[in-house]
This record gives sequence, C-alpha cells and structure tokens, in this order.
Amino acid sequence: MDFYFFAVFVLIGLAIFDLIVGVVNDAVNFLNSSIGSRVAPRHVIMIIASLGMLAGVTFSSGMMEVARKGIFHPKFFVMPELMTIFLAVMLTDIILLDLFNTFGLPTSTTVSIVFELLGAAVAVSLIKIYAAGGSPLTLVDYINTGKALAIISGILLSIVIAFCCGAIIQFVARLIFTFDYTKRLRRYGGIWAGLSLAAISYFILIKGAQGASFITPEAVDWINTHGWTVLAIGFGFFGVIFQLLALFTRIDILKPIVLIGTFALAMAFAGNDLVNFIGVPLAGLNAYHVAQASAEPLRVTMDALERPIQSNTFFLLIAGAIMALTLWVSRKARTVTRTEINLGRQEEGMERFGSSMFSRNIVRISHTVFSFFQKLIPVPLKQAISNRLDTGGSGCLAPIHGKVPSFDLLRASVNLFVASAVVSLATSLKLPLSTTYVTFMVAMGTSLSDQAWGRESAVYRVAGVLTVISGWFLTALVAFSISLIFAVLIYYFKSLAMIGLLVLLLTAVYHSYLTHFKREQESDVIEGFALRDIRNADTAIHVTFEQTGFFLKEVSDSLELCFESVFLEDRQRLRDATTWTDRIQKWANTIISNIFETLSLLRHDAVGSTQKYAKTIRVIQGIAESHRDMIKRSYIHFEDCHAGFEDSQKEELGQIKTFVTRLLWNTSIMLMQRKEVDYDYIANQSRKLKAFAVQFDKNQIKRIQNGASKTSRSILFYGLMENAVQIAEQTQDLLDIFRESFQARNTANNGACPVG
Amino acid sequence: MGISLFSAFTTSPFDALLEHAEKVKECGWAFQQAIECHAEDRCKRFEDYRQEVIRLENEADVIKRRIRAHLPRGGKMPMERFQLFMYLKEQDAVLDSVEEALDWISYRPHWGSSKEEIKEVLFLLVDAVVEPLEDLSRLVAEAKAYFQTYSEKQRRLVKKIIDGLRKKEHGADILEDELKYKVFNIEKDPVTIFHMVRLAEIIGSVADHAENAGDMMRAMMARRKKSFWGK
Repeated sequence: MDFYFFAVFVLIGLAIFDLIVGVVNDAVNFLNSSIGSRVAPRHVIMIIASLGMLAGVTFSSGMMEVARKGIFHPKFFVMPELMTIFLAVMLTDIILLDLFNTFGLPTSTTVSIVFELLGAAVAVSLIKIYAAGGSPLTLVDYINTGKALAIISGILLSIVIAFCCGAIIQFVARLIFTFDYTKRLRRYGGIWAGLSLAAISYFILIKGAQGASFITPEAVDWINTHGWTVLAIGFGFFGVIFQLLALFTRIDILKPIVLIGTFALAMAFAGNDLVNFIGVPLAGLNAYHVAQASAEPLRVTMDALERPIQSNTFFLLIAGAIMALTLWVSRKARTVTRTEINLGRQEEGMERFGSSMFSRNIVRISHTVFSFFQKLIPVPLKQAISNRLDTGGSGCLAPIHGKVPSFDLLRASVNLFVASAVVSLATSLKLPLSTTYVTFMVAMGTSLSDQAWGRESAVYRVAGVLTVISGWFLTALVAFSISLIFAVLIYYFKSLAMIGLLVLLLTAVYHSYLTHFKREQESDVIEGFALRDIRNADTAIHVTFEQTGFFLKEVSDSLELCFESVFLEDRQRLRDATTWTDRIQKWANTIISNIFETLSLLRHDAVGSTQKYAKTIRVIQGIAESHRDMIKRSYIHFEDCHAGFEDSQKEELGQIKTFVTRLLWNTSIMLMQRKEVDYDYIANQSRKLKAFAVQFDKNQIKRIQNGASKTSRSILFYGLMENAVQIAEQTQDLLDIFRESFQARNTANNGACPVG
Repeated sequence: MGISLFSAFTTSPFDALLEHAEKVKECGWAFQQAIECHAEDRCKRFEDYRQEVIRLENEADVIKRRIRAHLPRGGKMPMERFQLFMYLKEQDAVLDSVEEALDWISYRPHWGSSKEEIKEVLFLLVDAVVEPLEDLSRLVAEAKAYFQTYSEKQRRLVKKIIDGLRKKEHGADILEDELKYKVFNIEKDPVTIFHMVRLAEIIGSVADHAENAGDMMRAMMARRKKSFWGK
C-alpha cells in the first residue's frame, strides 16, 4: 500500500503541473478576441478573464465523470490498476501539453485527457485479458468505445461547422456594418448587441448554471427546455439597452460585448475544463479512499467510482487560484495566444509559418474556384458587395497605446458571439465539442471573410492553420500511444518506472523551457525590429541603420561559425549554422519591410534619398543571399561526405574569414553606435581581402593543375571565397549609403542627431 | 548539447568573460584604426580612437569587477577561482597594453618615422597582434561549451585555438624583431629609435598577453570533471 500512498501524492503534485500547462494552452480560447482587438489595456482583460475563471470554478459541477467512468468501466478494475492508469495519464498529459505550449500550438485538453485515458485503459485491460487467458475481443467490455468515437467525430464536426459559421456570419456582419462601422453601429448597433449578448448570456446559463449550487434542478431544466425563450428575452433586453447607449452616449458598444464574451468563455473554461486537469488525480484519491475502506484494498473492484461524487470545493478554489495566477505570469500562454492572433491578423507583415506544398495548392484551388464563382455573380451585385467590403482607409487599424490591433472590435465580437452560439448549440444537443477547436476555427473563419488572408499572406496563414489542425490529430494519436506505453511500464516496474518517468518529465519540462526561452528571445528580436509606432522619417532611418548593424554582427558570427565548422569538418555545427540562415533571412526581410515603411515616411520631393534607401534593400538582400549560399554549400558538401580542405586551403580561407568578419563587425559597430565612418579603414580591409582573394585564386589554380584539389573541394573553396568578397563589397556599399545619409541629414538638421 | 541542471539556476562567469573578450576584440580594431590613422598625415582622428580605446578599457574594467564580485563560491565551478582570475587578468592586460601603446604614440604627436619600410612592418605587426585578440572571444565561447559538456571533441577544439594563439604570438615576435632591426638600421635619430623600439615592444606585449590568456585557459581545462565511475 505504501507505493499507492506515494502514488496519490505524486498524482496531486502532477495535478498542479497539469493545471498550469492546461491553462497555458486554453487561455487563448478566451483571450484571443479581446487581446487581438486591444479592447482594453492588458491588465483589464486579465482581470476580467480571472474573474470569469473564478466564477467558473464556483459554478463548476465538479463532476469528474470523464476521468472516473467516461472512458472505461471502473467495476472491471482494482485500485492498483486504476492508479497505473491515472499516473500514466497525468505524466503523458503534462509532457504533451507542455510540448504544444512550447511551440505555441493550441490543442484540446479534453481530447488529450480522453485519449490518454483510453491508451492507458487499453494497456491495462489487455494485460488483464492476457493474464486471464481471455480473448482480446473482450476489450470492448472494459472500454467505453462509444465515447472515443463521439470525440473523434466531434473534432471533425467542430472544425467544419465552426469555420463555416465564423466565415458566413462575419461576411454578413461586414456587409451590414462595413469596415467603417461607427456610423452604422449608431443606427442599428442595438440589433447586433442584442444578438451577440443573447447568445453569450445563453452560453453562460447553459454552461454555468448546470453546476451552480444556487440554481435549482428545476430551473436548469427550464433553461434547457426554453432555449429560444431565453434567447428572445436576452435579445430584447440587451438590444434596447445597447441601442439607447449607442444613440445617446459615446460608449463604443462593441467593447462591453467583447469583454462580456471574454468573461463568459473564461467562465466556461474554468467550469468545464477544470476536470481535465484535476479530475484524474481526484479520481485517484477517491479510488485510494475506497480501497482503504475495504478489507482487501488491493483486490476490491472500484464499483464505487460509478456513482456520482461531488468534488471538494476547497480543491476547486485552489485550482482556480492556480489557474488565475498562471494566466498572469505565464509567458507560454502569451506564445499560444500570439499564434492564433497572428494567424488572423488583418495587416500583413512577418509570418510565423512558412508555406508548404499543401497550403500552396489549397490557396491555388480556392483562388480558381473563387474566380469561377465571381464570374457567375451579376456585375452590379458584385460591385455593391465589393463596395461594402472595401477595407479602404478604414481597413488600416489605428494604433492603441502605440500598438496596432490585429483586428477590429466587430470581428472580435463576431468571434465571441459565434463561438458561444456554436458551443451552446452543441451542448444543448449533447454533441461533444472542443472549445479550443471551435474558438480557433471561428477565428480563422472570420479572418478569412475579412480578407485578412490576402494574396500576400494566404499561403502562410493556411500553412499555419493546417499545422494547428494536424497538431490536433497528433494530440489524439500521441496521447493514446504514450499513455499506453507509460501504463505498461508502470504496471510492470511500479516505483522504478514511476521515478524514471518523473525524471523524464522533469527533463522534458526543463528542455521545453529552454527551447521556449530561446524561441521567445528570437521572436523578441524580430518584434523589436518592427517599425510599428515610428512616424518620423529621421528616427526610422536611424533605427533601420541600427538594425542593419545588428544584422551584420549576426552575419559575421554566423560566418565565423561556418568557416570554423568547415575547417573542423563538423557537420553538427554546420547544421546549427543552417538554422541561422533562416533567422538571418527573416531579419533581412524585416529590415527591408522597415525600409519600405521608411520610404513611405520620406517626403515625396526627397527622390535622391529615396533611391539611396532602395539601394540598401539590394545590399541587404545580397548579403543575406551570399551568407545563405556559403552555409548551404558547406553543409551540403560535408553532408555528401566530400573531403575537407588541405592545410594550405584552410590557412587561406582563414585569412578570408578574418577579413570578412572584421569588416562586418566594424561596420556593425559603426552603424549601431552611429560612429563617424572610418571609411579608409574599411576600404583598406576590403582592399586587403580582395588582394588575398586574387592571390589565393592563383594558388588554387595551381592546386587544381597539380591535381591536389578535387572538383567538389574547389567548388566549395571558390564558393566561400567569392561570396566573402561579395559580402565585403556590399558592406562597403552599405557604408557609403550610411555615410551619405548622415552627412546629408546632419547638414539638414544642423548637426543634431535625432535619437531613435 | 547537454546542459547540467545546476546551470539552470546560475549565471555562468563565461558569459561575462565573453563580453569582456568582445570588448578586447573591439579595442583591437580601434587600435588598428588608430595606428593606420596616425600613419596618414591627413588623418586627424587619432585622438578619437585613443579615447575610444580608453572608453572600451573602462567598460571592460566594469565587466571585470562584475565577474570578480559575482563568481560562484565553493566547489560550484569546474575550475579554481584563482585560475579564472588569472585568465581574466591576462585578458585585461591586453587592453592595458593597447592603451599604453596609444599613449606612447601620443607622446610624439608627429609620426616619428616616415620611412615606408618601417611603416609597412609596423602595420604587419599590428595586424599580427590584432588577430589573436579576435580569437580570444572564440576561445571563451568554445571553452564555455567545453565546461558544459566536457566532450573530448570540444576539448580538442579549444586546444587548437590555444595552439593558434601561440603560433600567432610567435609570428608577432618575429615581426617585432624585424621592426626593431629595421628601426636600428634605417633610423638615425636616437629619440625616434628609442620611441619606435619601445613601441614595438609594447605592441608585441599585446600578443604576449593573449598567449598567456590561452595558457591560463589550458590550465583551467587541466582540472577535468571526475568521471561518474570515479575513474
């Protein structure tokens, strides 16, 4: 029994971990709309979400059916077997959710817990059947197969329904209100507010009231059977109030809708998903108590778990407090939220996901189909629709506290309204739906309707959506298999396996923390590069040059790594260097897009300087491409198992490396510190580099003639040398532009340097 | 790359050491620019570069003090504290030598020798001492990786960099001797001879300190992490 007593403690500890990783993943469901639209300062949104969660905990039914009997029949199991299942489930859940959080991918905590329970229960059942000499077909007696199938169908159903509903309702809402909705909102905003808030308040009632102790079962029944009446009352009540507010006050009526919606979703999350995190440990505790109370604790079957058990309110409140705290402090929660917001944001810019063949094909097919249907629509109707959906100047969202919202309040309200309506409808029809899948797909549907996925971004956004969706299917598959393996290990090796798996868990969490930290640092740098709130040309030029300096330093460090790895023939390091190429390419793209912004800030008569900054684009692109070419060539050379360089070649390339990195570093210092350009020094270094290149070229020709250097080696040698020379030339060009700009602008500003 | 659990809760002194080494590298380039500028009659920025070297030296001093103040106590470090201090001292001495060289030049504002042959060797000597300074930051970065993994491959790489420092110092010694030889044989003015010979020695000492730093790193690595099996 000692082992199981220890197991109960471990389960409680794991429950805290699971709560944290669970909230981190699910926070996006209720934060996406309010944070994406910047409806209020972040702390206000967080307070509302926290209050919603605490209310949800209070309303929570605390029924842990899924954990205790939703997936398997407890009467066929004894306490040690259930402990094995529960331990395997919790360990898998934390590892899995933490992994998804690290990469910022939202997934369903319900799906993960259900499939983990299924995997572990299948493992233990099969072991039991095998030990009893029974047929594997009897597995269906142990497992509640209907539930698993219902959840799989729920995934598919929610993806399609939510996406379509989101797209259609957003399209209609935009047709009515257009992108410039302020005036129209005053005229018939009451109808919109009535519809949205009726759906949201019905959602609160249907999701919250069922577990609230102060609402009688009769009242719950009445709500369930009089759905349309509740909706009609809500529509009338909110419609009148908000129409009056729109007409006689200056309140933006969309703001309260979005904030109430955020509260409602946060409440629903706490009320329903809480069981996903603490349900299993509490079921373990119940099983332990039941076993202890019996004469044969290790042999008594767990029939008692079939009966409904009300959870301890104290546990629920502690869980609520942990969730609220996590919501405030977790950086991973922000990462997950950022993924969803970025996939639906209105404006163009840096995309997180790269395109894939699948996404390109989807976009191409959709474009063809759309063009075909466009031809079928009469021209006047087409014209009228496009007038209503014209983003025009209104499509450009105004910055709020220096930051541009990702989408407007109308879309935020549609997101919340549709998500609430779909989940409420599914709940009343007793269809299993994942809140995560619904909110995500609604957000994607509305962004599609709002033309956020334009020709410039569609392939990336579609690739992102496909990544998230494939992650959902992966969740089920991985949850099932890992949990199954863990259950087998714990069943046979007991405490040894448990300690080993706990060590594995800690290591996995630690490594994912490091991975997330590095990814955050990189994304912070990229975000820092964006020129979002700069409206002054001088400042923009200064900031762009500083960023270019930073970029050159990174190129220099990366080239140093590349050359050294080539000398050492170190494939691992070269592989690391290839990851830099993507990063440097991203930085180059960001700087280039900043230069475009700077160009738009410059006066129209400043044609000379405009051309100069356009030249900077060519130079930056050139450096990034030469850099990528050097690293890719080197990597492929050694991947193809070609021989490394001779000592004489290494020495020559070492000289080239010294000069090119020195040149890049020094230029970087000049740009970052806005030092007066010592052009002679740079030119001198560049001259030396070219002189060496000429000399080394002759030496290499001799080596080729002597047969000392094979073809592939010569190709790499020239590739590295010529690219290095090109980088040096381009760096010199960049410095020319920098020097001219500062001379010109300092003269214009009478020597005063504007601070960026 | 494996990372010990301990490292998650502490800041490695190697991070600051790397920061210090990068100041040394930057200082080396400012020094090179200053010398090239001083050799050109029309260049008026020598004093700017000297001031920049002084600034960099001060910044490096701040980093040095920070390292000394925040070094982990007890047996938490894979090397002796004094070894790390000695390494830092040598790395810092590079900056002192660079500063001293520029100060020494500034005592004779007009270039002591306009002979092209001497200038040429002087530039080569400066090039030769700047290269080891560039290698110091790589040495620290690779050593940091070594003390995290204790991999034999990483150890060989660090040793290779140290060998490179030795070779470069030897190259600088040869150029220092060549410069002295040329000064004695070409220059006639005793003050210029004294000034140039002393300058050659100070510049040469820059590479000496870089080599010493490499040797101290070698000594730090000599205390290997004990094997799990107590071998």
